Amino acid sequence: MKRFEQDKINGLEMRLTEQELDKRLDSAGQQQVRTMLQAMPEEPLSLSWRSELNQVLAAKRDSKIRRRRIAWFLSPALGLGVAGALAVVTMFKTPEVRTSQISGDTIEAQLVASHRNSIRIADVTGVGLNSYEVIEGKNTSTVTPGSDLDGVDFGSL
Amino acid sequence: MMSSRFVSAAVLAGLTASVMAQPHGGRGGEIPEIIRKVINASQKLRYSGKRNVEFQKGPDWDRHLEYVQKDGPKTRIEYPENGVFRGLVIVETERERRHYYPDLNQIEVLPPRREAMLSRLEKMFNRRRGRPIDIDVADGGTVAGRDTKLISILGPDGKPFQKIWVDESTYLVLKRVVYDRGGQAVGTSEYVSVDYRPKFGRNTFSLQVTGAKIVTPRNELDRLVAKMGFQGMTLPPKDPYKLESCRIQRIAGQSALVQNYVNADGQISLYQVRGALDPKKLREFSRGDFGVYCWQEGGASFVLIGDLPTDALRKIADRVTS
Repeated sequence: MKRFEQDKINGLEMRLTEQELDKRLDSAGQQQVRTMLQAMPEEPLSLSWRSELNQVLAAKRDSKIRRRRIAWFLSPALGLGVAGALAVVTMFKTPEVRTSQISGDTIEAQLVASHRNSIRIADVTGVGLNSYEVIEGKNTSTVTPGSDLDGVDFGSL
Repeated sequence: MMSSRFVSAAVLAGLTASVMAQPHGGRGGEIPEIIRKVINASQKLRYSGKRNVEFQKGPDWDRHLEYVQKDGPKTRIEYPENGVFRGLVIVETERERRHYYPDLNQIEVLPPRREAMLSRLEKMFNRRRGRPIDIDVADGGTVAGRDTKLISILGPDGKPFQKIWVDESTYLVLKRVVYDRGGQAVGTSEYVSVDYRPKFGRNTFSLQVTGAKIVTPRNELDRLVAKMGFQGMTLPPKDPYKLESCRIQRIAGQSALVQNYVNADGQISLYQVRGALDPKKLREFSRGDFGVYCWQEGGASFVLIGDLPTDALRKIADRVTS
């Protein structure tokens, strides 16, 4: 209902011409309102109020500059800090601990251990005598050509 | 503005940290310069020296002294007259290696052994598979009267599995210590004296003894196979991997025929045991350090172990014939 009335008013005003509007503005009532407004005293802005306003504005501006300066330092520092923390975690990360325990008494374990020891000792001896050549002791009188090595336990090397 | 500066700084720091966190030579194809110099020196240096070698043998340590003469890839090693290896002579050239056993009047002819440690080290840095290794270089003090650099070769857990002291001027490895997984030293070799101006004779790097019997590892393999009743399964003589040694070894209470093969890439071992083995356990025990390939034939189990992927070992296994 209200919307209908508003539409009605808008329609009425749309239909008013410019001349009719001037006529209305020059009406006695409008003149009276104009006179009243002109008669009102003009109050000048207080200088002290302006000064206070300027001080507040200046304080706010200084605060903003300080915040910008802090942000200028903090933003890269924060980035460096986060990245540095990640780097520390990466660099000093505790190596993965292998928890599987190997039972050394199975033939599979001893086969692998035999090869591993052979490689380790070869690293030490280089082009010299390797561990098996030392153990065989072919140059000693205790071993004869074609001797049976079956009794020698190399597995413990 | 703040976010862009934050991101830039984070990226910069991240890149720096990632570079710092990288091992010196853990990435494929990146051999540290000092390691490269050591490898090159091992094939070029000319020197003679006395070297102490010690390694763990069960609960005890074996110790012996070697007199080393080296001219590039050629080596001659002799042993003290008052030791158990008196009269034993080793001569190695690019083509072959010879051991002369005077008591047996026998010369064993073997494939060249070279510096297995250095070739393995080079391979570790070169290969793209496997676990990263790192090195740490520090002042090594004096060894054999020479100033040295100490290179610690660190495993993935950060523990050294080998330390080498190299001459600062010549890059000769003057001392090395090898460690087990627990960080205990299992072997050392150390020069006590070295002479970089040696005088070699015309025959220093040849080994011919009139009347000496020439034997090869294949002769020994034939003998062991016949005597112990193993299958004569082996890589053919023309295979790139050459038989370096064979022996009978007591493993978990039973006899195993062990054949060691070498080529420029390193060493592989072929084991033959009677009965079945569990391939899963073998893989578990190798812990990624080695490749393992296992198969059964004629009532026996065969295991190839080496510093190669399992697929490569399987291809080698396909070449094993009787």
